[in-house]
Amino acid sequence: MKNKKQGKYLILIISMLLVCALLIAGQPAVPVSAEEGDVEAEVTVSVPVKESYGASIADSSRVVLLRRALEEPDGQGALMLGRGWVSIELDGVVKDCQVISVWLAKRGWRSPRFSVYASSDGNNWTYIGDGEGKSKNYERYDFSGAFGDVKYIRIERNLLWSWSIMLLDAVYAKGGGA
Amino acid sequence: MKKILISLAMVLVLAGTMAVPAMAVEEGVTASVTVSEVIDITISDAGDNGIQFGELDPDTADNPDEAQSTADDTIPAVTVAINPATNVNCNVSLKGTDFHTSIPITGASFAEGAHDVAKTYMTTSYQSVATSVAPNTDVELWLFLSIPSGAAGGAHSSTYTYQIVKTP
Repeated sequence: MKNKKQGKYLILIISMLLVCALLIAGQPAVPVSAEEGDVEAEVTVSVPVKESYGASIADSSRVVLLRRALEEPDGQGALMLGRGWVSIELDGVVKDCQVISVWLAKRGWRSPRFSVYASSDGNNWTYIGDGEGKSKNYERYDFSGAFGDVKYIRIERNLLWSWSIMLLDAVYAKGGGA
Repeated sequence: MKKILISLAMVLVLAGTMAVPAMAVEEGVTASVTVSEVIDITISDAGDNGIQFGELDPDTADNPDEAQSTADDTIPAVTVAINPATNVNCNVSLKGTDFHTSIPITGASFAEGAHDVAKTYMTTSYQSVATSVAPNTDVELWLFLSIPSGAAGGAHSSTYTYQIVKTP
């Protein structure tokens, strides 16, 4: 009677051991090792504006007192010498730009000619128009059209008049909704 | 005397028995070792620390990372190096978080191996970048970001997470 009971316990223990063995065998393989690494990504989204004056100088050649060409006209201009040119970045992208204005004056006898270009990225330029700075007082020259999105305005002097200086006071762009 | 002889005989018998050349005995013992799987990686990005897309305008597509090469395959934005210490082939995956609610990560994409191959657009879940990458191999990525129309102005950031696991 006692042996029979012991036999039952033995069978029970063996069964439990077998179940445990089966459970262990049924487990998925040891999780594979893994590595993770983070890298931060950053972007600054520019805010479209309806109108803007020049905010910063992007690039230039043969122009001195550059900062005078930024912001609203104040009667003081940057000096553009010889075939000088300057690229000015606006505060933001002027969407569907329809008007570009330039304030300038001349010093000297000859009237300097200039060309205006516009760009949305500072690399690809669209010709806007040209003009002639005839006055020694600062005057505004307006160019109208469908110029698309504008973020940069570039002013170039066309001819080399060594006895003539062009003073660039400000540039301005206005969108359709402004 | 008789006892002495008997004792001597027993000693001789014992000595003779012990003098018999010993037979060789061999027994095998199993030795086992488990070498750990090792994945050793280095993630590096070109240019300034982090992925820099710079200042972008709304409604512009596939703007490249500022530091990566755009005309050739010389400078990837990010390089995931599977270092020589790695002893398994690996799968590389990438996911990211939204830059902003108005700039979802689905506007970000990557090109693997070259700057001008087909791009894979990212999600907040892991997307496969490369599979079965052998140790001592670099996985090079060129990264791009589209800014939707109406995206909020200002500075935004995202976390790009690279996962490297053993190839099953």
